[in-house]
Amino acid sequence: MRYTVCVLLILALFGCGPGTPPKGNFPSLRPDALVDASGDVADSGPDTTVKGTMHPDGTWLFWNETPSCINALNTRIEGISWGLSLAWPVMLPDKRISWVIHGCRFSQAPLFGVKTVIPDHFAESSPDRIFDMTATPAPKGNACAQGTVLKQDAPSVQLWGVKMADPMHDPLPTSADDPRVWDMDGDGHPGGTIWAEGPNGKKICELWIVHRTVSQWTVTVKNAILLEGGGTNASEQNFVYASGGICASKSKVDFMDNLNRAVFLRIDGKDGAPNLDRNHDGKVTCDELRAADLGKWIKPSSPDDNKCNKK
Amino acid sequence: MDIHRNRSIFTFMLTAMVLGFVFWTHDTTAQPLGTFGFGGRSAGMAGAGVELINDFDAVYLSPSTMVYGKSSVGVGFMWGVNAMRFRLSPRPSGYDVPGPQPEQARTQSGSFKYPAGLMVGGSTGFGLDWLRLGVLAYIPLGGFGKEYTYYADERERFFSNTLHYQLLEDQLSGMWIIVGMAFKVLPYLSLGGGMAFIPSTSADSLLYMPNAADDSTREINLRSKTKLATAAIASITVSLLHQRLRLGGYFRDQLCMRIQGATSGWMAGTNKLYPINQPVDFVTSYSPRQVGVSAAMRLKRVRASLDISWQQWSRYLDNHDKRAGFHDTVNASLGAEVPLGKAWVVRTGVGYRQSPVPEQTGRTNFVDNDMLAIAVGGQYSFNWLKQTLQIQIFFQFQGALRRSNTKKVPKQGAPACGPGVTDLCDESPSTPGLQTGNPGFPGYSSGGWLIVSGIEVIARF
Repeated sequence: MRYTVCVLLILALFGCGPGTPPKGNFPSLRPDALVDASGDVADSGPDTTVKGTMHPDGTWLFWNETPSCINALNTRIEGISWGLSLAWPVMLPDKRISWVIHGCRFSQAPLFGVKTVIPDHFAESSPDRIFDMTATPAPKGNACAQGTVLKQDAPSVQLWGVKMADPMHDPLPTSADDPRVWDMDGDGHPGGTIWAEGPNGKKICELWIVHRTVSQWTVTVKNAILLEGGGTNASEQNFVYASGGICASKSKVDFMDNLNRAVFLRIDGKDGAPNLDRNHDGKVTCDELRAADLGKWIKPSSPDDNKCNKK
Repeated sequence: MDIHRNRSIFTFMLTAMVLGFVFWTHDTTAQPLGTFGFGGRSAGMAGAGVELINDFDAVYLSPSTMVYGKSSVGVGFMWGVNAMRFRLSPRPSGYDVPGPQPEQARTQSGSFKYPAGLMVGGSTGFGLDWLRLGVLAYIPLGGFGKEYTYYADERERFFSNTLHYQLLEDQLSGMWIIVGMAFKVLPYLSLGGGMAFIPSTSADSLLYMPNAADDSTREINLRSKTKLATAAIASITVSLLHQRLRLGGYFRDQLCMRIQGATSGWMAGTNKLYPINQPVDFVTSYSPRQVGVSAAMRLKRVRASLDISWQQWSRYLDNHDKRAGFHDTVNASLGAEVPLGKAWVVRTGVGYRQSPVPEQTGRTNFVDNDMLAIAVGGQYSFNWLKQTLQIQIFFQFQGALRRSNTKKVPKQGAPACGPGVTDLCDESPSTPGLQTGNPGFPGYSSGGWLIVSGIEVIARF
């Protein structure tokens, strides 16, 4: 009988476990992808391994997604724009957090196969923004604890290619001769220069724009390295020059504020965060941010025209 | 064997049973039909002993053997420990599907529950030695009436986002009722037949939407019926050499629980009368068609039994009523029991249960293993109120033979996911390369063990 018991125990403890899973037949396609503790790379679902309170220091990224319905060619289609920025938080008195936001990449989903190209140097030349946020409702304890809701105190304005006395309310210029228009991206043309590309990657037309975005975000502290939420992010744009074609057309845009998304993610390797400082120089740059695979944390949406055609 | 040693053996088995109970958490085991051997005697021989058992447990095992035993009535209880596990291979980068992602992170454990169960039954011949009628019921306790269905492929990522021991879970969650009878046709030949029942459900939902533009207002009616699914059982037993040798065969038809119906909806403002029509067709608790042969030999001090069964898993229907590409299996068990004096019997057995699931290289992620079983059991008989009472206990260990599954893509590339596709499929065909959120991608391994123990009290008269 004792031998039976021994055999049972040996089998139970050593012989019957699931063993090491196979490596699989599929190589990683992005060598720079971020690997979490479980070995998964850019896996589906949010990172649930990091808990706790965020620390308002170090380097973060700010990512936002803004869907809208665009009325064009007698139909309504969904357009989505994204912003990817570096962000540095500091703690202010009264349990407020101030973020300095530096743009690294602005992009848009193609419309009818036509892609609007916003060069990366355009994004980096855009003026930095300040988001001052307050915990709402006022927390009894730490303003950065998991579950705390942080709301931007007031709408922030960002201008591209134009300087105005009242950035929030002055009408945007319509002419390159307007003295408020300036060469933001330093390419020798007034305003900021963007262009449209066809499905074959060829430039269709070019335009010089002036642009205003008014945004106000509300995010929730999910864990020590992640804040997620939404808010308002309305923009308007004039072109002071268009080389023609589709670039000269203007469409009515309806924003869908309830679908706006915002993410703050710590990216300096502290508190369990990914470390995007690939060259280990102690700081994360826009180049390093743009090169990173962020699929594990950020899942951009795909346009769905049905959202714009609900009755 | 002296009485002290007999007591030691019984004490060991009782201790093992208690240990099983101590380890019993919410993940416990029970429904033994075809998985562990049914009843205390068969389970104590790892599923062997079909031709030796002649009480009400034979209604399931082989009804024709009932005529070789006295009338019986009894109750039993089974419980256990589940330590079956799987491990997922790390996902490589570059295969994520664009668009909405699941809320639930991929996890390394399933939701496999293993409830305890109760058995009650009886058999009687109404004073006739050539006739027996029997009935038995298995009633799962912890998970009574619980039926969970899963997607076995990439669709599950939006829900549990993991894998499941779907076959085992299906088999162990339903309630069974079986009735049977046996006739002694000749002194050496008996025939038996019976019917197994499990509940099936039909449910229709009738949806009313007064405003098609506002789907927040919905009213609903339900039409539900509970029916019984049935399967035939038949057996034959030949008794030779003055009943020292019994040869038998049995047949059990396939049985599964179905949940069927439809959701029909009327929506104001649309031209069609019922624009919403969503049929529902779930299959759970699948038990395959089985044919078995058994031989039992009574020697001077030992009763030995060899049992071999064939199970038609190739007809297996998954939770969504689709064939899963399984293969038929052959299971075998060998058991023996030794009387120790007039009151005591000890028994033991070994068994092998083959998995019907082929390596999961394609779209589906069924988790299942070949199992080796080792069992010990005992019986204590005594007289009480002029009746013979038998207390049966058993302890069975099943060890899984570990296996691994590695996903493969066909040479012509991964097809787009859709109905009828069995290969690992692409969830975003418009994106170059393979995009899949399949929870079992790029592979997984599985193994572990089960322990089940139980007690059965039977009165013979």
